[in-house]
Amino acid sequence: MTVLPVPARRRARRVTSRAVEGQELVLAGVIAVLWLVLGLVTSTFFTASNLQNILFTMSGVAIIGVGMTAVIVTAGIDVSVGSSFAVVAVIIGRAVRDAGLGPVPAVLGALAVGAALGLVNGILVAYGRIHPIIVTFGTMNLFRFVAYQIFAGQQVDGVPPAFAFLGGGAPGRTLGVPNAFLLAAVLAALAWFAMRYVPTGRHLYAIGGDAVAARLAGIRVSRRLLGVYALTGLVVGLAACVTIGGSGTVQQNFGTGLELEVIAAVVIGGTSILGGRGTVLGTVLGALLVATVTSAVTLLDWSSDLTQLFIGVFIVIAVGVDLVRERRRRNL
Amino acid sequence: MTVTPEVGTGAAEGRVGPARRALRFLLADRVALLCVLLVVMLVWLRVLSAGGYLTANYDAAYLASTMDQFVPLGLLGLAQFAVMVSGRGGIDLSVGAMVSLTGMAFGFMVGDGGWPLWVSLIAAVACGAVLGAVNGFLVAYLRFPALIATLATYYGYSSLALLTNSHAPISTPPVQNLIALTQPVDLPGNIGIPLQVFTFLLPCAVLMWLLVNRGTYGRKLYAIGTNEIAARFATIDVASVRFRAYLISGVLSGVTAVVTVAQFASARPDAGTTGNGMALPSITIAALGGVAIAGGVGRVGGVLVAALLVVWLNAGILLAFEGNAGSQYQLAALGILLVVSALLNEFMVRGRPRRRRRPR
Amino acid sequence: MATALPRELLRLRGIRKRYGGVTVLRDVDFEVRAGEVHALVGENGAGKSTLIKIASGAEPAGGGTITVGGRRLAGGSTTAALDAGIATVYQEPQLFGELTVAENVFIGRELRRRGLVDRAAQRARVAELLARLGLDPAIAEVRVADLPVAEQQLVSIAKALTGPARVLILDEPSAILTDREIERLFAAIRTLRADGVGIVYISHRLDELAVIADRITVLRDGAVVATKPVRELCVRSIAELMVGGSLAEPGASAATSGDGPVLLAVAGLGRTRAFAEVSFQVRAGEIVALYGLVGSGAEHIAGALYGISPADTGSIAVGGEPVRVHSPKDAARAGIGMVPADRKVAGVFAGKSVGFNISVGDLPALSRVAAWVDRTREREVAAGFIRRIAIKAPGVASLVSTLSGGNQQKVVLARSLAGRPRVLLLAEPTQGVDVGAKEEIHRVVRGLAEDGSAILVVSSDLREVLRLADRVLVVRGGRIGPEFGRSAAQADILAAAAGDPVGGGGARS
Repeated sequence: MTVLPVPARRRARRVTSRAVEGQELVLAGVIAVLWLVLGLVTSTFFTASNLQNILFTMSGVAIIGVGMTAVIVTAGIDVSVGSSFAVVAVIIGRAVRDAGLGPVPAVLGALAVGAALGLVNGILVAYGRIHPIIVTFGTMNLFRFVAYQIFAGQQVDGVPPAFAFLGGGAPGRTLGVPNAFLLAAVLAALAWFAMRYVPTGRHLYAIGGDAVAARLAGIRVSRRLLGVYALTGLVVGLAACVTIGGSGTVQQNFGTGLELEVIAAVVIGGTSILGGRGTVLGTVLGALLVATVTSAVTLLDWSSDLTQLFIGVFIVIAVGVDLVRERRRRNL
Repeated sequence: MTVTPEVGTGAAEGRVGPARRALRFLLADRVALLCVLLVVMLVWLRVLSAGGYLTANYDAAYLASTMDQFVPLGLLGLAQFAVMVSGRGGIDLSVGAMVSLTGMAFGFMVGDGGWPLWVSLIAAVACGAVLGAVNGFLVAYLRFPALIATLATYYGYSSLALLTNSHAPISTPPVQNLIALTQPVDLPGNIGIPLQVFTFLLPCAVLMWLLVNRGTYGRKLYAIGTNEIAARFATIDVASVRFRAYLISGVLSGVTAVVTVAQFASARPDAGTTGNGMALPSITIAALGGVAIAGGVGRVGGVLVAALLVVWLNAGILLAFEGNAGSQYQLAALGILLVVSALLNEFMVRGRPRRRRRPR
Repeated sequence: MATALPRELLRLRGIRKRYGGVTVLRDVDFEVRAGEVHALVGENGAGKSTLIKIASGAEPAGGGTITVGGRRLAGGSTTAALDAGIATVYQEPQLFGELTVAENVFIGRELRRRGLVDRAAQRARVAELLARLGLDPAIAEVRVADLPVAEQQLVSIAKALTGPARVLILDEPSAILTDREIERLFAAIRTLRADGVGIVYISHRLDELAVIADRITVLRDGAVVATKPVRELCVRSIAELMVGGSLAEPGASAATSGDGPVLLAVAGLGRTRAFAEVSFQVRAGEIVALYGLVGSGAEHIAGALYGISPADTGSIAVGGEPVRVHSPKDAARAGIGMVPADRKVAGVFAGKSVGFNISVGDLPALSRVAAWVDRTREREVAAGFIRRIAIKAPGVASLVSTLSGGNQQKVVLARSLAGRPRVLLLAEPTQGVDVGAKEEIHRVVRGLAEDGSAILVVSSDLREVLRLADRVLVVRGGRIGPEFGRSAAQADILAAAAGDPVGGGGARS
């Protein structure tokens, strides 16, 4: 056998890990084009109030999306967020109205309640070893029951403006930007940083890629899973504060369908539902896209029902593009 | 192969008392477990009822009358059964949306178009089939994760349902007359079982049972859900079989739509999506009925008994509280049942002894 | 190449191991010196993998001692072995596709600075390792999923080298690589050798040993047959050591006459990057074997004949009729059946009954009207197979997962026979099966041939091939090499498959 000389190295272009992934750039591009078109077609898109509205609408989904992204990266899912959202909202709404809780203890309380609910999911997933979708379908019903018990048949009206600083009105803005959005942005930035630079954050990707191999590599898988579900509960608590701040009332149907909205934003943002891949930045962009479409449908005077149709189409396109890319990469 | 250890295990198993063996059987056989649970629950609620602890009598007549909820729950539970057994994370989040959209189509055909009932019925089921086919195409041929594909179509279909009649329900007289489809069938003892149990649920359940237990399709469905690669080698067209599972889900959603329109005497554009929608309860029913989220495992009987259990438990809970408070406890009961049954499954798998089972 | 004063890094003395009643290793002595590549060869089941498992601490030894650098090592602990400097790279890279090369190398033990992943330090450390292995240091920040398989393999090696690795065990690193990729691997190995690392190199490709190894130890039936410098050996002599002096085994049924009609005719079959110009014929009543090492492409040829991954070029004819095989369904229609390799992955439906497992192979034949299963017939067919090929199962309804490996394999065989194929493809038909069941499966296969089927066995088990086949076609580098008859010597076939420069017939491109 002839020994071949070492071949000249192929100079194949490789995708190195960049701060911004391809899908995120595409998404940002789509949003930019949409904004441009909407700016040209409507006279009201680039008004302060409309932009403030878009940013405020997206913040709730973006805040919960931070936790959901982490959960989905570990190849899990949490469909109970809508219900835990309602539990936090009614508890804190009543505490503020009936017990006169101040803003700071109220926010802390919301975080604690949310985290406790998330912990329930986390324990069942990590130590009960039940499939996350089954666990969270169960707790979704259970949490909704808890919320109804606390509502006791009445929505919570007239919540004093303890959370006005997070609301959609004038007191909830800093230099014209909604504080809720700033909060979401800071949170997302922290999560993005943590999932990129903190060892524990990187471990989430390993767990989603191959939980068994991750365990063999010395990663404490159960503890990390417990962590991400608890974190999701925590951010749900925060999102509830934002929403109470926005409306001043807590309705009994609070949070129904929220889980799907959040999952949609995460998926549009390029996170793989199979785990191991995805970023919080993508999720924020996904939430922004959904909020933009919602606003566009209103501004263009189209039927608001079209919004959901567009979300569905965006999901199919986002995931479809990703599937095609993966397939091409495998055939490389 | 070697005989000695088998004899040994046999002897060990022989020492286990009949009570423990019965318990083991119950934990392993989901349908049997659910049946026992059902009986225990019925007896318990009967006792409570006889003791005057319930707001109304929990008797056969009452149970029969609550079976109108059994129909959509059972039908959609079977729809989830089909897609979950097909494996690869099979799930259909869009069933509720398909019910809404098909229901509107049915409403238009009966209510506005004045089509004969049977034509509209077939057309409605066909409409459900088309919607299911879209899911099937995305999941089976384009290989979208089922959760995502059906999340997208959930949004798409529910939006279309709202758009068709700009949010308004269709309640023209022909639609209102459909209530006749849901008249109770009077049995002796003042028991009136809703007609749709016999005209819709039972035929569908029997057909489904025949299809998966007696048809070659069922063999293929369980095969692809159990081991997709082995199924390919066994000359099964995996994509086509999985596609048909989603098609079945669409067809059953179409049937559910017809029933729902008849029960409400109105085609409502949000019939299947309002509140928690119909998808989540149906998934819960399927999982409770022993259908594994990993695929390849599950039985028609399990799903039906689970649906009946939930319906009659709900009926009992409703009577245990004054006014409307019971409906909240129903949610809690459903959630707890689901998690506990899943824990039980996991416990059984983990607790099962490693050694080879004794051949009978 | 061995240095003037060889220092023994790893020394195994008198290693014994039994699994159940079977002795796998008997008093094996093996040692690795600093700066040498010591190849470990042997047939499947000779005990190579058990030996490296013991050396790496994955399995405790049943007797004997392990010393590393003169210090006694407590066996049975992977961490102890790692700490002592023994790093093992298994065939399947255990990497996370979505993480970068640097992250994979340091997963679970990241370099940190103020609690954060110190990417720069990791990158620098990995770049150094990569450079040492002849890889572009820039790939430290590339996602592993974006790398070709060969580079992934090198990344696994890099990962093994982050510790204090003094001995590196490579388990068939070249099996799935192309020639060009193997060259890169060798370049990396040479660098490590120059640095004084002791390398245990396990391979089936005997031809490459002359290029990379310094010494060779041959294992046969759990015992060391020889340890010699590579220059004293050639492919042929290694092959002879591996198979022993044994000739073709007697007792096999008399060679069936080769005058039946041609049932399977393959001409010019090819698929990009898998195999090319494959032509052969199998007659009725004949058993032909495709013998090739892992990665030779033999299993791809079988896959193409069965439509799992269809061929791009060439033609297939069954019973003289040309057929197009684009899916297993096409194959079944043409009368081709297949028993896939790897029972667990592609064979059994675990958790289902024996009857289900058999009947699923030919549902149309079992269905009466349209698509309804004739259950009586289903039971009869399954029960018939249980009798006919002696499947030891309590009944048709018992779960297939409760059977022994051999009986599970028979169930899979029964399934492929349910459709009464004229041509049967068997891929590694007795892998992981005990001796008794192996005999029985061979008997069934011979019986099928006697009944007039054409049988193609794809196997990397040389003894099986020789016992079963009337003719052996050696597959190497995706091409059909020389053909051997029933009386061929094992060593000749092995030498041809493993790369004898004379007998290979230029099989490698």
